[in-house]
Amino acid sequence: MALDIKLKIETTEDCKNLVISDVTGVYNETSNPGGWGGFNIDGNRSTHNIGLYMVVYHITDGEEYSTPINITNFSSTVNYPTEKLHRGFKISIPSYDISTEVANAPYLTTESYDPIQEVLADSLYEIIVHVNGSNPDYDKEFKFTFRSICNSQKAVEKVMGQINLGCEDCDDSDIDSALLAKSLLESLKNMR
Amino acid sequence: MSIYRSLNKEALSHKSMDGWHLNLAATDAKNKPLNFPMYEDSITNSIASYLEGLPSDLVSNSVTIPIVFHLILDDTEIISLDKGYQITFNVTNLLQDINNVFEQAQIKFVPAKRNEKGELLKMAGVNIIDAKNLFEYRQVSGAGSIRKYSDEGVSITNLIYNRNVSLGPTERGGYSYKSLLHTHSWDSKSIINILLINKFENNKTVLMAPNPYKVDMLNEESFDIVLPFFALGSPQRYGYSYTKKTPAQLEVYNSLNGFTGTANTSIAYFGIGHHSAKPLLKGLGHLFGLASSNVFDLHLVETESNYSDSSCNNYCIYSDYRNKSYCGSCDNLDTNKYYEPWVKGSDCDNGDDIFISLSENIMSYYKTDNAKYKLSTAQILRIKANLGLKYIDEETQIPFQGSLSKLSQSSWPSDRNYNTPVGVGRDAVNSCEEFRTSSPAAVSRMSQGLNNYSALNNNSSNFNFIKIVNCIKTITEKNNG
Repeated sequence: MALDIKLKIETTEDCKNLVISDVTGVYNETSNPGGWGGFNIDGNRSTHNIGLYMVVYHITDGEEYSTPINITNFSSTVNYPTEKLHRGFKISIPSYDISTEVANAPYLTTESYDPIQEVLADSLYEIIVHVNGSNPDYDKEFKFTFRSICNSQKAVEKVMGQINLGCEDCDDSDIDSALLAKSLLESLKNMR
Repeated sequence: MSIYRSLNKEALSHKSMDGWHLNLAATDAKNKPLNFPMYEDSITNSIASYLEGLPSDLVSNSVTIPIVFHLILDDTEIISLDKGYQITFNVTNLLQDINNVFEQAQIKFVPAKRNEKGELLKMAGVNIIDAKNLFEYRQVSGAGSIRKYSDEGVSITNLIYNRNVSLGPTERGGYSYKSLLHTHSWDSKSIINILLINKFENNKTVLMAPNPYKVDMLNEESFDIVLPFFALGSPQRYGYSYTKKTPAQLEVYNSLNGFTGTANTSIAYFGIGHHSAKPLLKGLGHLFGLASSNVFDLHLVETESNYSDSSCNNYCIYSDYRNKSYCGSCDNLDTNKYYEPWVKGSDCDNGDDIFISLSENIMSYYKTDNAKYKLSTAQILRIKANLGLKYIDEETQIPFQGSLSKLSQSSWPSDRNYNTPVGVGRDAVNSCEEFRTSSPAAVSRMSQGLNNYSALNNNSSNFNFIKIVNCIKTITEKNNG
């Protein structure tokens, strides 16, 4: 089996950073044939490079965009647990780094898109890892999809915490709205 | 040199955005001169008879016409917004936008399901053509003999007329427009072929479209529309993106991104913004027999720097091009006037014109972002009259159908019941109110529906996700005060 990169993609607790970690692991003939090393490349940093870019989906002024961006500072911000290998790399990308790149897209003619977003917008992100190098020659890209719901989760938790289900004389509209928001959040979690 | 004389050299003006007026040059084709006044009379009479309740060839019912978009690709990434991972070219949005306009004339375009060989298309209405190595041999002084599509784009004519450079027309490169149609167009009498290319060689033209009368009279094979991807505008909506991988695409890329100053103004004009494929709408208008609402006075265009504001307008009919020069020169620069020739007393000079906003009309050269483009009543009638065009063979006296009439009766395998996908997917998430009025169980079913819909249209799935996020945001912000 060829190298099969696996990533853990998540947001930080405060929704401000996107954290991408390589969890591919070490090659094992039976338990992890897609891992680094063995019959696959070992991901030596002196012979192979890793590049990262993303496609950010957003709706701005009613128009649907899927904007490809480069993570230009990948090499300067990535952390490696080992001295020479890419294996286990981890990078934390601040939200505003992503929003700035999106805002700079040449075809985004509107100024409605906020270039400095403090928290990572809940949306769909496609993350592409490009591994290439020589000795042995290797050039492949791996694509991952991440659906961020960090902000929605927090907002729903907040409204659910505020409603009083035991109040018989209260206006039910807030309760209905909160339950609707919770249902929609569950729908997001279940979307493939 | 008069415009008429220059056109009869089959040379395109270097500043022309639309090659349509070459149709007019054919009025003087040596072997088969065209009688445009007769054509105009026929259309006018057909409309007048219809309006007076008399027998008329005008097609008053709705018609369904098969259509295919041939994507002529020198690099596949042009139809991918994510650098080649998936084809993002969105024929659904394109069909939706052109159907929304031509619905006014009771015309519905439906995507072809099969190709000329009867094979099922992978994507209805889309035929992908690998043009990485498309070339032909044609000598151009100073530029060798190989004309490669990926290097030079497509040439409309081999000659370009530019009085600033030379009094006579000059030779230009580019893969020949006629070769392109000859090789890649399907049976034009049964289906509308739209060929999307990287660019036209002259970097100014954004459209080539036919006139039905000329096609019928000269028995031309091609009844097709050619335009560059960038002329569609709205790259995100239609899912295309120029790359830097071929010289032709790089040239467009640089213009779109402002790296080449103002040299290629038509690329920058049409390539940026959300004008819902305005040149394509105009091309379809030409195909159904409509003339431009404002027509270039080439002398003005070539001696002034602007390309749209300096054009004259109004006499939007085909007529005796040589003698009356209706479409060749005019001195009325009021771009809000529109000439309706069959309205009694209608005359550009006496103020009886029917006013219409040219910025919203499909036959103007203007693009308007987020516009709801319209056809005037007169244009609708002209389209319907053109759909019913019939001729009589002068030798045998046997009547025969025009190309448009055949097209409207085509049996090409296509999705006759085609409707822009709506309902459980897109519409359901367009409004939070839809969710508000639904029970939790219904919300659950709707979500399942979204998943089913998403399986058919991955891109919609992604944006539906965002729409639900926005709904949650709206609801929770309201509740949180």
